[in-house]
This record gives sequence, C-alpha cells and structure tokens, in this order.
Amino acid sequence: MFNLFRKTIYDKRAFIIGWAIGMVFFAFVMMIFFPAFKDSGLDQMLVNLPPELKSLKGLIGDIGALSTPSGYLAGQFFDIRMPMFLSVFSVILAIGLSIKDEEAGYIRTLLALPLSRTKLFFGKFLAIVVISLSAVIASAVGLLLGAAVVNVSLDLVVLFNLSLVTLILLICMTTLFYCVGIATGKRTITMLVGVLVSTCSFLLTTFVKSVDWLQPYENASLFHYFPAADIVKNGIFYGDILVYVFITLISILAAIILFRRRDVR
Amino acid sequence: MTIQPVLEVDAVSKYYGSFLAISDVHFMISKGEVVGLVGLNGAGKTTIINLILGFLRTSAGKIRIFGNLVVPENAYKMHSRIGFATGDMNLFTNLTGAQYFSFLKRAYKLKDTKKLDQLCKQFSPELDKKIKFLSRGNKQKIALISAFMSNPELVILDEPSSGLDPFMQQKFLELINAEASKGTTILMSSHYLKEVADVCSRVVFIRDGKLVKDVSRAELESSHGKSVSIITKTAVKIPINSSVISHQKTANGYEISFIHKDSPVKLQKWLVGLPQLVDFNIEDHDLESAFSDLYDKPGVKNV
Repeated sequence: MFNLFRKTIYDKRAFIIGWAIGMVFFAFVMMIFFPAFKDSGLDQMLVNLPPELKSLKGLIGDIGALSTPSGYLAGQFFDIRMPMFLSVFSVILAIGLSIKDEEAGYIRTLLALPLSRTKLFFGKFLAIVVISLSAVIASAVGLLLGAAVVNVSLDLVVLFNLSLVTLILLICMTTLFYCVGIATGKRTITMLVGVLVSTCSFLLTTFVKSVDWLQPYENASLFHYFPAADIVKNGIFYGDILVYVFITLISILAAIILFRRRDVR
Repeated sequence: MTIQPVLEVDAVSKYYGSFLAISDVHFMISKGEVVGLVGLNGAGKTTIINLILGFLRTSAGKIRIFGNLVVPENAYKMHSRIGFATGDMNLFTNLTGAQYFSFLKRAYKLKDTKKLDQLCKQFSPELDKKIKFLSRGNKQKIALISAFMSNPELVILDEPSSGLDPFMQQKFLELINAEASKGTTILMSSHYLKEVADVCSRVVFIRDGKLVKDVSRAELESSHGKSVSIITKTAVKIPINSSVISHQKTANGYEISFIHKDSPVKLQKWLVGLPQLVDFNIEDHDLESAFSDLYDKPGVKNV
C-alpha cells in the first residue's frame, strides 16, 4: 500500500507542484488586496447593499466583516473562491487517480501484482489526503506571505481552523468523486457526479437565501457545512465536520465493496 | 495420489452484457507444462487470461490456481507466485526501467535480485530512460523481465513476443525453454504458431470463445503430412492413416479434404486407383495448415 502511495505521489508531482504554486499565488494575491478593500470604503458600500444582493453570499461573499483580516479571509477567500477552486481540484485529482489510471491500463498492471484491491484503493486514498494537505498548506503559506507583505497580522487560530475545515471538505469531495470512479470505472458517471455535486452545491449555497423553494434542500450542499464566517466567530462546529467524515466513510465503504467485486478491463 | 494441477479452468463462461465472450472453456495445466493458447484476434484468449488473473469475474464455472478458487476479491493472494506480461503491457510510463523494477521489488517483497540482474544482463533493457520514451521492443523487454524476476511458479504471457526483434525473440524462446526445464509452468497466448510449436508442450485452440482443440505437441507434430483435396464423380473411401477435414456432395460430385499421414507413394497409388477423379490438390500440412483448418472452415471442428 505504501509502495503504491509513494508511486502515486511521484506520478502526481507535477500536479502537486502546479497546484501548490497556484494556491500560494492565489492566496498571496487575495491577501495583498485586503488593504485596498479595507481602506477604500468598499466594505461600507457592500454593507449598504440591498438585502437581496447581500443574500447572494456565494457570489459576493460574506460581507459582514470585511474590515478585519479574518473576516475578509472568511468572506472573500474561504467562502466563495476556495470552494470553486477545490471543486475543480477534486474532480481532476479523483479522475486522474481512478478513471485515467484504469483507462491507461495501470489498474490492471497493479492488480497483476500481489496487491489486494482494498490496498490499491487505500494506497491512492492516502495520496488524496497528502495531496489535499499540500494544496491547503500552500494556500495558508500564500496568505501568510501576503499578510507579511502588506503588514497585516493574521489570527493564526482562525487561519488554522479555516484551513482545517477546508482540508476536510477537500478530502471529502475528492474521496467522493474518487470512490465513484473506482467503484464504476466509468468516466462519464464520475464526471457527471463531480460536476453535478460541485455545481449544485455552489448554486444552492449561493442562492438559498434568495430563492425560497431552495431552502429545504440547503443541507444537500457540500459547502453548507463550511460556514467560514461562523468559524471565524465561533470556531469549528464539529457537527459539520462529522457530516464530511460520514460522507467520506460511506463513500469509501461503498467503493471498496463495489471495486472488490467488479470487472477491471 | 493425484497431482494437483497448477491451473484449472473448469467450464468457464464469461458474458459482457448479453454478449457471450467465453463459452464453457475447460482445460488444466500441470506443473512444468508450457501451454500455448492460440486463436485469432477476438477469439477470447485475453479474456481467458483476464479471468485467470482475477481481473474479471466468471459468469459461470470456476478457475483454480494452486488449488485455490480465483475470484476478483482474492486473486492477489496467488499473484506472489505468478508472473504476468503482455505484448502491449501498460507499464508505468512516468517511471524509468530501474524505478519500475524497484517498485516491483517492493511489491513482491524481493530481497534477492540475482534473477533480476541475470535477466537484465540477458535482455539488456534501457533502465535509465523513462518508459514512455522507450521503443516498443525495449518496453517489451521490461515487461518480460518483470514477469520472470520474482521466480514465479506460474507465468502467464499474453502475446509476449510481439514487438521483439528476431534476435530478442530467440532470446525470449531460450528463456521460456530454460524456465520450463526448471519446472516453471507457463501459459502463453500467441498468434505466432511457430513460436508456440517451438516451446509449448501443449496447444489449446480457441475460436469464438470456445475451446476447439487441446492437443499435445506430439499430436501436433504427428498431424504433419499432406493436405489433400479431391473431387470425384462417385463416393470414395479415403486412404488409411488419413483424417477427414470435410466431405460434401456438390454439383460437380463429391468434394473431400483430408490429411494424409502415410507415405507419399501410397497416396500416389491411391489417387491413380480412383475411378472417376475430376480434380485434386495436394499441399504440405503443417501447424499453420492445422490452424487454418480450424479457423477458415466454419463448422469444421476436428483436424
């Protein structure tokens, strides 16, 4: 299992480095924009927006506390943009580790070795955890660098909490899509699930406050359990974490049962 | 005491959806046998190999390796004793040959690399280049070395020598012979009948997913002779020591094809003695002809 994990990390090194650089850059740029937001009175303007616009949290972010670094990060970085980036990241990574490897015949080559399907699954799952961690660490590094450049002091506990929940969300999403890929071996189904879950989650979280009939479905959004502004104010709500852990574990269980039994062609 | 076969394929069928890819295939391989699996493209050779390795689940029947039932869930337990290579093996192209072998050494938990070193010396693969930059022949060398490097008891090869130049093909056949003499059991699918005839102690012919013939090398060799086709106005009995391939009545008379394994002089005498011979054709009958008999004449089952 660790042999495969090492190989997977080696295979994915370009992906890891590319995303790490991208996340550092993105987080850095977002952070150095903070003084402009704070000093331009944009925060005051946003506060005066009509309630209908304010409710479109997913589009304009949580605008409640733009004048503080933590509030800015929660509202403009972790609340809108990170979930969008993470969705793309998780679909690409999950398909790369499952469908692409199967289409290239690598899963077959691995299964010819004395390696159980369960170990194969976990070797790659472990890689998902580490690759996700590297992306989240990169974003935190970018934020810290940006904060240092614009001479802003970040609350490290808040940053840690937001990064931790981001990591758990990322692992949950990627595992879900990876499990669909491994369990079915079908690119179309995996893509469909990945795009549908990401898009629907984003749309639900964005419009749920404005569109009444969406409200009963609010809990169906994966992003619903990542209330960045609340995490800044009150810390991590462990019930939300449990939802992600539950989704991850159920996906793993179902994928292992199906993958162990299915044909690999 | 009965000797347990190394591999037993017992009435195995495989459906892909509603398509029957493999139908009721049955054969066994004993320790030390080198068996060729021969058939045209799409005959079902690779599907049989995929079933044996547990990549696929059988729709009916059972496969046992070393006495253990093979299903996708537990196939890996046998794989430490099995080597596997295909002609177009999906090697991990991001690795160099050396990295690939290191990965396999860890997967097989190999401590002794004497065999690997010996195989590398024998085949001289390019170890420092990434596999994606290697020629097909060099990739094939790496695949073949990987199949034998763990000293497996059973080696399964799917079109193994495609891509090798004649010199390397010869080395490959020498390797098979050397392994067979050490008691390694080998199942090898191939289009190259000469290759099969040179190294295999038995040949299993597959057509349209069915096993159509399972013959020993001795039987194969004895099937060499003359392939005779005649057209006569009246029905005739074929000479002794001959086996009928086809026999049908047409507008021209009776068309009979058979293999004559006796002396050509006896055949000549028999032909001269035929009362109403319209036409005849005589060709050498070798393994290639036997293969053609199986695949070119629909409905003809026995050679």
